[in-house]
Amino acid sequence: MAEDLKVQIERAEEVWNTLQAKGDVIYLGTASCGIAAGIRQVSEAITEHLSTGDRDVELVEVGCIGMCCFEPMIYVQTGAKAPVVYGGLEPKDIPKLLDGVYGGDYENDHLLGVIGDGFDGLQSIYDHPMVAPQKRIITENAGLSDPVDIDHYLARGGFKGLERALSMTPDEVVDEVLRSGLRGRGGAGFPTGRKWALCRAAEGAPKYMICNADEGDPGAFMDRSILEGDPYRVIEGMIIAGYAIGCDEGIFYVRAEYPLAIERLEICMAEAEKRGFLGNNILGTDFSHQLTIKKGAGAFVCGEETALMASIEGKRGMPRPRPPFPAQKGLWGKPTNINNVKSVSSVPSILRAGADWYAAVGTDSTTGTAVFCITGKINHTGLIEVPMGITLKEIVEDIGGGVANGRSFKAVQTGGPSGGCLPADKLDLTVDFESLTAAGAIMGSGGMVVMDDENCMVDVAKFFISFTQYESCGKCPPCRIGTKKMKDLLEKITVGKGEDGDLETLERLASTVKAGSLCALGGTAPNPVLSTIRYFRDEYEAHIKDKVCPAKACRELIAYTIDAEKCTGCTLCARNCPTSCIEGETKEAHVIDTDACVKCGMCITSCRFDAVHKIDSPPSQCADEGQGGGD
Amino acid sequence: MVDITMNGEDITVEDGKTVLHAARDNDIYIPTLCNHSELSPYGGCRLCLVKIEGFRNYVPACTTPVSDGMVISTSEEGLNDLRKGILELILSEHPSSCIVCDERDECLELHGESTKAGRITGCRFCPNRRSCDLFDVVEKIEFNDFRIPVEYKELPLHRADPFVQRDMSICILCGRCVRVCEEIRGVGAIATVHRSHDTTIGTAFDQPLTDSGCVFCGACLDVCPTGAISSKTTRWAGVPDETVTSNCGMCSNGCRAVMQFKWGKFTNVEPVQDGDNWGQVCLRGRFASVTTVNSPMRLEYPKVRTGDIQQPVNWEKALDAVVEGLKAYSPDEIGVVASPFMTSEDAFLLQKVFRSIGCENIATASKMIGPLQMAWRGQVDRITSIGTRDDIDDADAILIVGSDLSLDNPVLQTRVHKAAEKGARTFIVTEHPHNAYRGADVLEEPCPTGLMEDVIAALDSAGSCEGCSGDGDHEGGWAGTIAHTLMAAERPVIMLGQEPFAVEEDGVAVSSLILKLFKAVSGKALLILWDGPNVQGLMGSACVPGIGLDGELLKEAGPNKPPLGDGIKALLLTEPVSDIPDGVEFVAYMGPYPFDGIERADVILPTCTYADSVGTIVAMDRLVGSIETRARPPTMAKRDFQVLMDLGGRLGAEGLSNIEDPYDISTSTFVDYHIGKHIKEMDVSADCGPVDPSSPVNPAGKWISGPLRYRGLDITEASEDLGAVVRKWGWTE
Ligand SMILES: Cc1cc2nc3c(=O)[nH]c(=O)nc-3n(C[C@H](O)[C@H](O)[C@H](O)COP(=O)(O)O)c2cc1C
Ligand code: SF4
Ligand code: SF4
Ligand code: FES
Repeated sequence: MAEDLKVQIERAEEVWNTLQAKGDVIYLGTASCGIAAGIRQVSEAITEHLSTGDRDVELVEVGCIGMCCFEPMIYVQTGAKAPVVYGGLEPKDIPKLLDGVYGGDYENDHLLGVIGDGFDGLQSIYDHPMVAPQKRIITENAGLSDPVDIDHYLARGGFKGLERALSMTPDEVVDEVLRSGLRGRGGAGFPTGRKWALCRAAEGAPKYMICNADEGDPGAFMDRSILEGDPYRVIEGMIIAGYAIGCDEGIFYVRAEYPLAIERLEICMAEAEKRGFLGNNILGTDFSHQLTIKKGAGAFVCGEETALMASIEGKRGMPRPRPPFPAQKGLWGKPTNINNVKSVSSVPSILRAGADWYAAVGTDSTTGTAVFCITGKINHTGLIEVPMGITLKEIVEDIGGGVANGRSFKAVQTGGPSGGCLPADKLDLTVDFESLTAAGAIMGSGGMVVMDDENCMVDVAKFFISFTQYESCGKCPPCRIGTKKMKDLLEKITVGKGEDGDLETLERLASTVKAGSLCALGGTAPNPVLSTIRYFRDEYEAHIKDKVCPAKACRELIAYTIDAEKCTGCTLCARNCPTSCIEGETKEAHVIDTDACVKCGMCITSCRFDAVHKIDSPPSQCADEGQGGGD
Repeated sequence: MVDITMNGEDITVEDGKTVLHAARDNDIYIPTLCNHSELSPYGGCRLCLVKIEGFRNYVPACTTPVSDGMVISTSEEGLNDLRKGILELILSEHPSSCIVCDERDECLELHGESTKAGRITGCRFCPNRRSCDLFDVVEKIEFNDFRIPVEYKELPLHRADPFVQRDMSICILCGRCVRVCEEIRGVGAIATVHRSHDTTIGTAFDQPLTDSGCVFCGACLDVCPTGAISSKTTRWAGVPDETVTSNCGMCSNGCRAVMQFKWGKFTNVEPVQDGDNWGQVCLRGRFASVTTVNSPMRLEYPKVRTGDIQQPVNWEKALDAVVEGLKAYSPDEIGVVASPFMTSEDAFLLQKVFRSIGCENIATASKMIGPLQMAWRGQVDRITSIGTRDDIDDADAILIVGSDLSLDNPVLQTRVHKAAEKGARTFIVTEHPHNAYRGADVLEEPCPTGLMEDVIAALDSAGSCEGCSGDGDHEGGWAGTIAHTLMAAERPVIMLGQEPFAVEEDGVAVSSLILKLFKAVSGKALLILWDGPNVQGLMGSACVPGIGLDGELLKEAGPNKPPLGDGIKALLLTEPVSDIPDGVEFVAYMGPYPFDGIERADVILPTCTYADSVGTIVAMDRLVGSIETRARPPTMAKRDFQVLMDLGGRLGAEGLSNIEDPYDISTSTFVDYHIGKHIKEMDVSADCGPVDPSSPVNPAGKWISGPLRYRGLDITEASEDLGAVVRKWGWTE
């Protein structure tokens, strides 16, 4: 068996080295983010431009390197030199850029760095401020190789973890994962090795291994990036898990909105089977393992493991109480192990480099790395992988490049819709399961949203609770009704109808929902509300007592006005106003009729002289009167 | 057994029980709403949360199995507040005036009166009529502090469905209805639909219940802890002032049921939870029964013909007219028809009265008896089902011929479903496949004779099919598959329904094939789904020619003069017949309803239904049940028993003096006949031959029977909703 793998690796390395040595290659970042940003158009421009010259350039599609704010990106490799990364491209930039590069002039506004060591005075991309503090384990291949080319994967160390695992007993593999300290990245941080051991020990057959790629959090796309950028890694992880636990079948539960991820998984599963890594008698051993894909219909709650299993069984995706745990009674009533994509993807590296190597990364309680999607009011948005134990400050200021547009930092929200909002004085917190939870946030599955002083925290809380309310499966009253009541109260506060006692009612409701809900959707739904009340209570009080929104974000509590001093009378705002409620002669100061104003903000966006401002305004009196009903 | 600690007490609990079971067994109260003893645990309502050491969060008692050493607190600090918090949320969307209103005590006094409002806005108008689990929980955990705004859901009322009204605004989403429909009835007509705050219970695509596969058993209504699903017929009736556990008299299943009455009127039927029918009843027994019994068509006055007019008279005159009328004929010219809806006692009395005047021309209005007698006599000692309904529960293969169970014996589907869930393959051969059990292989066959012949023919090869487990399809199509499955099964159960008996020859042919098959596959049970609730009882009441009082089949030749045959000039009918022969000169009819041809009656004697009678009946699996009801008969109608006693007196029948009530007859006369027990089972191995071919059998003939009839009445006339349902299912009579 080892013989066969060795041959395969040698051949793969040859393929890889040939590509590296081949003079002219352009790598195209074609993950979903790249496609959305326009890589296809850029790629057409490249082909068109190349057709005019006689350079023989190979185009290779690669995944996402994580610097999403710079998409679309290409890496241009010339001669024997390492590829140079350019980002933020438009088709029109291509002719000039390629002419320059091929003429030996690498520098321009789009330059980001060299993949590998810098040369000719060019900086390595690994020294780029967004990349330098990162530690790439799960994403080590992402964006650097053709995701569906199994030789690329093999040449970069792929399937060595599987090879080592198969040379060990399943118990040894479980033990290795246990010693690595790996904790589930799906949110709860349960030790993966322990979970495997439980399922391995459980009585019953067949056993199932499920990879949870439902990823329903708004703004989260880590799992998608990994599946698109390095599908073989996830497949290898699944096979190792299947071997360790003793599963006959593995299932990828992928949301149907991820067609590219599904397509790549399908291609790679077929290829892996052809090469003997999957299917019967893997790598010549007695171990056989099948993998299938099940598409999820896109409900957030279907990411919850019991709902996920119900969904695979063709039932309504509603969670059920545990115990019995999936390891005891899972899919079709059989012992089942469920892991997140990132947990599964960590496994090949752990097996390849050893538990000790992995455990050395991160903190004592939380080893390894964390993958985050950083978004919001920040300069560098994208997908990052950082060692556990890094501070939030490093992420926001160094990797993220600080708050965008010169505004000031207000809060960072971690953990997706059920996470918490942490203020500036919590930025020194280290990233690990315990410290985030203690501060009222959660690790969650890896969303991170940065907010600036224009974000109203009451409004933010309302936004998140509206999401969880909408996604509630409706099975249990605390979540179904409780989140609705919380949302209603927040609505009431943001329109300036808040009353004394509302905060206390909110807190009371939050504790009922938290303690009473069946699954973690309800159990964590109040987090954004509780954490904002905890850290930004004065903002709530301003809404309730003074009927003002300090961030000037709550529409009912603000008015738009034009500063006569600054207004040049250019009429631009008046022409953009959808309700035509701005009056004024050309070259004279304009005035907004606040009664007719719908507060859409078009005037602010269109004004070039910073003359339009938001000011506090009493809530409108004619809005609907409170709640109806009653006996 | 495992040892656990609950609220500081050490207790020992059976393995596999839940924390809730453990608490209940030890008289520790834990509030519950979504839990139901007959349904799978759900864990949805969250009221039963308890603290268990070692668990980070509170866990529901209803879903958590006990394990050794578990330390549980059901009442620790904070738990009751949490429960109140959850209850407050539930009540914030539920009409709760009755629960928290200051005037609730006064209000509750009137609460039991009839409902006058279509939409429920306060518990006063709730159709649940004081049996509200929500109310009970509120009382028990002393909830009284409402602090969040109340907001009703204001969902549209579902009023267009037959029999049931759904008001999802007061639903608390406990999911019991969905579970009972799926788990017990095996139907799955309703489901949780939509999500978030809009979550509700409904049908797929919001289609009407008639299109959703609903069988209108009403099981959802029984388990609903609120008034969200209610019976259209009873929601207006208020709290009953009298209830009695009795037998339903609609079909041969003989369900025990709780009959409810108010002011002497029959208002509602609910199943008995621990009875032989699994806490279930059906659409006829629950819904159509009430409108049938209370039908304005009920005969109210005795009548006697003068010329062309049937004139209301008093009972004296009517009975005299019968005696007078009959006296004009020799006993030989009189024919008597016994109704299979009558109690055994009434039927016995009927034949006793007429035999005492020398009349032997007595027969039972069942299409099934005669063909079965012809097909089976000589091979069996008596005609009954073999085994009981309990045998269905652990059958490993089931064949139902001539019924889809949806109207006759619908409750049996719960047992078929249970067996099917455990792996029993089920075949249903019927001419009405539209609403047959979805877990079965349903074969549409207007006449099953051909198929049954093929099954018998396939038995040989099936018997020699090595290692055959009966799974999958076999050579010979369905016939082969059925043969293999039954042969491979260890406990096959066969049921014979009434469809093939519509044509006498088909009935004879199918009967003999079924018996052959049953013997060949060594069946565990053979259940005859009789075409009337007490056909079995009448066979032991001497109302069937060729069958003795002890139920045994006679072998010798005997007088066999059908009551509707040649030479009959006077008739006493207790069940309508489709065609009264021209030669009949005098007709006395006793029964609760008019019928097509009642103009021919010279005397009409209005009698009672099973909701206003007393006596016993024998179900299809030989189980003796008792009818014990309290309804006040309409105007002058009398029980069959009373009418027959009076008539017997006038005709000079002997031996009536020591009969005071019907039970005097069953206890003194019937053999091995006890309420709640099974009567003797037929013996297929007995040496029974030879039989004189001219020994009498129950005449096949112009009997009106079928699952849509009650004592001759087409019940779709009494229940429009039933009519709507059966038309949807493709039934036309
Ligand atoms: C509402 C809800 C949504 C969830 N969504 C996901 C998801 O999209 N992906 C995921 O891996 N885990 C999700 N989880 C967590 C899973 O239930 C489960 O804990 C996880 O898949 C276990 O994997 P791990 O041990 O690798 O973390 C969700 C949980 C809840 C309550
Ligand atoms: S907490 Fe919400 S999502 Fe979870 S079971 Fe309850 S209603 Fe469904
Ligand atoms: S209709 Fe009744 S039984 Fe069904 S979920 Fe609602 S409250 Fe429960
Ligand atoms: S009774 Fe246990 S959760 Fe409803």
